[in-house]
Amino acid sequence: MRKTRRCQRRRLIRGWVGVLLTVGALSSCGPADPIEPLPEVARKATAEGRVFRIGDVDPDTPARRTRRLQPLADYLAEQLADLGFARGGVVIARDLREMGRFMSDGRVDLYVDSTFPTLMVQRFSGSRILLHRWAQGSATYWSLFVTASESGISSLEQLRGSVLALQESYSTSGFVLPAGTLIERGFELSEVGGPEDVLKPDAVNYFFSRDEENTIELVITGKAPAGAISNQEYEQLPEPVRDQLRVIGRTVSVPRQLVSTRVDLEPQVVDRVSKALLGLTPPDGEPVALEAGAQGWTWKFQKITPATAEGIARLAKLVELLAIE
Amino acid sequence: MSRRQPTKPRSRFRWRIQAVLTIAMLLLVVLFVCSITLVETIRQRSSFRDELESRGVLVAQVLDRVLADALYFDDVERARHLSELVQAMPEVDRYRVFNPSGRILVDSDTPKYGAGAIDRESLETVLDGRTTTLSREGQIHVVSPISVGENVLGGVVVSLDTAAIAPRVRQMVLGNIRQGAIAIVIGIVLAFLLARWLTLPVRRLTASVRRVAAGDLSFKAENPRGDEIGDLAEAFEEMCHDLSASRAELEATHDRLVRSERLAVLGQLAGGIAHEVRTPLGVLTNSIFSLQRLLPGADERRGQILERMSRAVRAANRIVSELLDYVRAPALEAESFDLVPVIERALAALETPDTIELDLRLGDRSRMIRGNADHAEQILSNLITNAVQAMPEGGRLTLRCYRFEDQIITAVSDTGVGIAEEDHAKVFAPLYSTKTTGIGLGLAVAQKFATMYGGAVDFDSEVGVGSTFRLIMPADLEEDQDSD
Repeated sequence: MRKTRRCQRRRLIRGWVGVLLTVGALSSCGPADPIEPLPEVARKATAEGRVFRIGDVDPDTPARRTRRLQPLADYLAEQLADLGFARGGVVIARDLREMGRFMSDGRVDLYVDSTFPTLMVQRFSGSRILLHRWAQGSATYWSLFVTASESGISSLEQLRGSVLALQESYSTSGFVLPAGTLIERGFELSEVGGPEDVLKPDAVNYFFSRDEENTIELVITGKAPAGAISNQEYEQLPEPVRDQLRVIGRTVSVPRQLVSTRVDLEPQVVDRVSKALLGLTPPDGEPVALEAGAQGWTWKFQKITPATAEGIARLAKLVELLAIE
Repeated sequence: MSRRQPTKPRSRFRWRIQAVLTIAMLLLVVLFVCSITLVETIRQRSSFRDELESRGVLVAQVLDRVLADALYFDDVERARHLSELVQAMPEVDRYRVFNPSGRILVDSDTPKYGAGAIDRESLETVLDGRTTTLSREGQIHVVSPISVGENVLGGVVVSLDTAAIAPRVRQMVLGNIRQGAIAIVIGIVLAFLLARWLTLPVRRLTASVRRVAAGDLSFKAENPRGDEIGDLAEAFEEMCHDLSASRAELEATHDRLVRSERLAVLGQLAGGIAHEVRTPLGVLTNSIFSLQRLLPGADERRGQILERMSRAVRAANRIVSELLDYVRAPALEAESFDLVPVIERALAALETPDTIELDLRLGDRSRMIRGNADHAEQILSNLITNAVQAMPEGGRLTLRCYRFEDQIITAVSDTGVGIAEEDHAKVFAPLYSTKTTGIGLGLAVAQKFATMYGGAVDFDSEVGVGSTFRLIMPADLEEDQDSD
């Protein structure tokens, strides 16, 4: 018993050390003090003016995503006008590796995405996490393991030998959080093509449904015994649909989204970007819509807090467990 | 003596105003309808073309939205697959999708891609970020960029065949012609009715003029529309009225001239006769007077005979005097005098039967007029005599003298037989009389004398009630008491 407590204490200390190390690393990666004189930055501007580019990953609808991000890019370019930036641009990558390449070669200055993609792009390009972004009204989110109410499954243990519907391999809430959590809890994972595929009896088999709505549909119809979705998705479900689901477990919470900049972006620019993004959030804390209409996204940012850093560290650990390359 | 020129022979066909108006309005209607039809046809044709262009632009916009994601990553296969949706649109004849280099990626006419390049004009349009419509060889080409923000990912040329709208244009033209024909038929009917309505007053006026030409001057204008033709009719009525008045005046003048001429002759004759008769009448008067003096003791029967003879001679004298007065009496110089004593004198000179009640209302003031006292007495004597003679069975004789505005009026009223209305116009005519005595000059003389001094004689009468004759003379404003 005492051993167990000691182990728990050690684990806790190790966790806190990890958090502190991560925060230290983040703070060292963060924007430096604005020491460099402005003319140096301005010198890099072309005769037509530099373009401040925001990057994102979307292999399916790059044009639509570009239109949604363009208002934020224009806003930032306007804020950076005195530093030589003339306009804002959006660059969409097919996958995280390509985005990492874009940030490495300077084609993308700023990247806004969920925690897992941000960590991966950081791994590929050395990008620096700058801010914490709220999304869908929340600063953090987590994943829920759900089954059909009448499935008879009431715990994660019952998933051994069964199949779990996950969203996509690059999804934080749809893959990394649930899969990492299962591994962390000692489950073996095995990827299969679908629920009808041959399942490994001692492992939790999983397949990708491509979308959280598909996951819910598969679980409710019984085609998949269980699935993992974000708490935000679950909370937005209509009451009758939610009644058909049973939550059998949850993951740790992680920051909803992160803002990162390319590693070699001038500190003055980084600092100005940080201020500009934080300036978007008014005192009442309500998110700001830069573009009216259904397609417009709202923006709300906050500084990286210890809690944020802890969430990032937790996810980083899960990524390591998953051995994602 | 000039002969009337023969009138120019009329052609059989006469351009009546109604026909001219009908044809003119018809021409205007045809011109108007044709113009409207032509303008409407051009407008609708242009509208169809605009509609076709709009559809082309819409297709280009759809392609822009649909293909932008595929072209973003140069996914040609995906672009080809997505663009097949457009083929379902019947108006689209051909579409081509090309990249910013001008290489055609998708051509609906060519299954293979990458086998050609887009024309320079379309490429430049797209690279400029513009959407343009070009018309070539019976086709409309909508050239539009496919872009995300400021990044041009490629372009699309949507070709629409204008033949697609030909059936609609043909149908529209036929419809317009049909509507135009109906409008023209309605226009013909309306033009005819309108021309008929417009010329109706002219035709009425023409008929009236013909009646006037035939001698009927009783033309009455009607101008319910208040238009120019109505004004003409009113002017014509005025002219007819003047013409009628002139004719009446002319006839009256003619009658007066004839009468004057006749009276002049009669006057000369009567004057001569009267002069000649007056001498023996004087002898007769003297003789009767002598007999009455020589035979003072004659019996009653003889006295009555002499008295009758004396009355007859006085009557004859009176007739002669009236005749001479009417024919020869000159206007004397007007003088101011009081009319009241003259009235009393004229009344005293006459013998009024006992059956007649005398009612004198002359007032207690003088009535100064300008004229001749003898002539005034003569006038009043004639009026009083007529009044007495109008009451053979007795009655009331009323004499009034009063001032009305600037006139002195002496009214002689009787309660006699009265004058029939149809005889009113002839009352002052000389030689007109309804009595067995006299020759009908009394009132004519009275009127003649009155008018010589700016006065007049008028009357009103009713059969069975009596008559009132009025001598109306201008008051002497300087002398009359009422003028103070």
